Amino acid sequence: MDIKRWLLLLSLMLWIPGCMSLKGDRLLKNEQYQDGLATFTGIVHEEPQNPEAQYYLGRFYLALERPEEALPHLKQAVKGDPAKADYHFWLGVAYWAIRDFDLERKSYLQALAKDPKHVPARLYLAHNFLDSGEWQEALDNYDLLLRREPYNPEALYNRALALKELHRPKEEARAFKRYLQYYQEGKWALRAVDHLNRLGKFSYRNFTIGYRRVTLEHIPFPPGSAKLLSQGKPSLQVLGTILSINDKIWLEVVCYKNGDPSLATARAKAVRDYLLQEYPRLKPSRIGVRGIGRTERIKTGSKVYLLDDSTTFITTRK
Amino acid sequence: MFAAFLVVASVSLSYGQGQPADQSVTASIRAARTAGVSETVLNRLMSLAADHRLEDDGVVRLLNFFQTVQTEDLPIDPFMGKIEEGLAKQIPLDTIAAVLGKKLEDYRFVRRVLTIKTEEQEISHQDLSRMVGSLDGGITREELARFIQEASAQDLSMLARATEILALLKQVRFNESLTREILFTGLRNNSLTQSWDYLARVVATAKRRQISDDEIARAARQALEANQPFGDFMAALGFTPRDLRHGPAVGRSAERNQ
Repeated sequence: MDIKRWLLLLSLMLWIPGCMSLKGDRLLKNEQYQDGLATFTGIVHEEPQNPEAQYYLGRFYLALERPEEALPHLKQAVKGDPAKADYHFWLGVAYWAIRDFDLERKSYLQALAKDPKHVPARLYLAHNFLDSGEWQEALDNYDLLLRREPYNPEALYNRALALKELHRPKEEARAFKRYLQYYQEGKWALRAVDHLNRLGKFSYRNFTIGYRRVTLEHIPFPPGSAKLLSQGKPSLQVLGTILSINDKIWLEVVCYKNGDPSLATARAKAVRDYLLQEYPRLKPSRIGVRGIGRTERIKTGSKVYLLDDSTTFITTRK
Repeated sequence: MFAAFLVVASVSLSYGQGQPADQSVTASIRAARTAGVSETVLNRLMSLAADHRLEDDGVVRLLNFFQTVQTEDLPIDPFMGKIEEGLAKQIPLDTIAAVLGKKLEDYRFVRRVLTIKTEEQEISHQDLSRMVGSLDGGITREELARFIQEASAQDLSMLARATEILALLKQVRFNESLTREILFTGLRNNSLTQSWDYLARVVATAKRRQISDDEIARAARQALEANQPFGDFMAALGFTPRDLRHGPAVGRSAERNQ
């Protein structure tokens, strides 16, 4: 059988309802973009009026970062089956890739007109508003999305940015804290903490442990006590894990308690004891302690903040 | 080839209201063909002539023009595009011819400037057209010549891209001296890749967000100096990313990082 007949047979097989989408989705999921491109180029050649084939071909071009070639196929898909919200959504993504932000927005609005519950379209529409400086519209759309997906990280983070631009600092701080409540790793967490600290909020702080910058939650103690509360333990477990993985890192735990140096020292020791207890392989000599009986002075931007009661971590060797 | 010849031959006999074509038209077709004008181009032109009922002398004029373009090894498509556009808008042929003449002069000008700059270096029709297009986009010949003379020309495709961006940034009223700094940085570092084609669109949106030209230029220079992807430049200006492969991660339940 020659290649043309094989392609025809393949396209006929893929016409069986669901077959084409299964094949396309599998290739996309497995990131077999070149294979997908070859397969769907053949199918589109045989069946140019098939919107599903056009859609997948557009997707493969887009995945290969060839948006100019993706666009005509995604447009064909939309034209062939305008009721499909996904087709409008991906056309919007292709418009973004050529930085046509107006048409990007129109496509997401079309997708949402077909399916108001389309989460990806709602999210990227909100992004589009944010990129254009339309902060309130961005916020409204992030909020709509969070009603459906309360833990969506992009929406949680970016709604805080929208609030920042809207000059609503209290809500901004709450929004960044909400993001950090669920996501404490990675560059967005680090940035969220920077934003919070800029607002004078230090319930989360970034520390350089070894060569890595990590986000840690405030280590709380009851008033007048050196007893660790459970709230601070997850952050100490992050520290313990890093120290366990990299035995070249030596650390000093520094606690501040204004007017009470002995309590500050006791707290620093409590932190070290917890780490040594939870990670018994750590050598005690790797963790130093220091208690300071005055306020901690923190400078963020042009502002200086004084903390009566805090715990910090300093890498002493790496 | 023979079939194409038959089409041109038959069109040349019939384009003028069913009358046999003027001898001068036939001779011009022959001369254009001899000069290397493709049968496809001749067919397109004769079809246009028939569709728009052009007079013989108008057809001869266009054929002779194409012969010149071909002889000078310039791209035909941009000129054909102008003819199609003009005829579709029912613009008089004299006006179309004037536009074509100006465009031809633009091509000659850019090629002269490039010859001075690069001597024997070959330039593709596509790149040449991009540079000429920048003149349509709002920069003057003097500005273009100065830019080409001062720019690094290791890669002519990149230089063509730079001239196009030069015109587009002028359209969005971006500071001209900063524009040159950005483009020269990209050319010097060989980092003004295809992904920078849409710089002006991003700049226009950033300006709407009250981001200053200085700030935009700083971010662009940094990205170009470090040969970073265009996406990094956008991120530096606060643009959100999109996932072209999978779309956004949705439907996940939050897991507290511990």
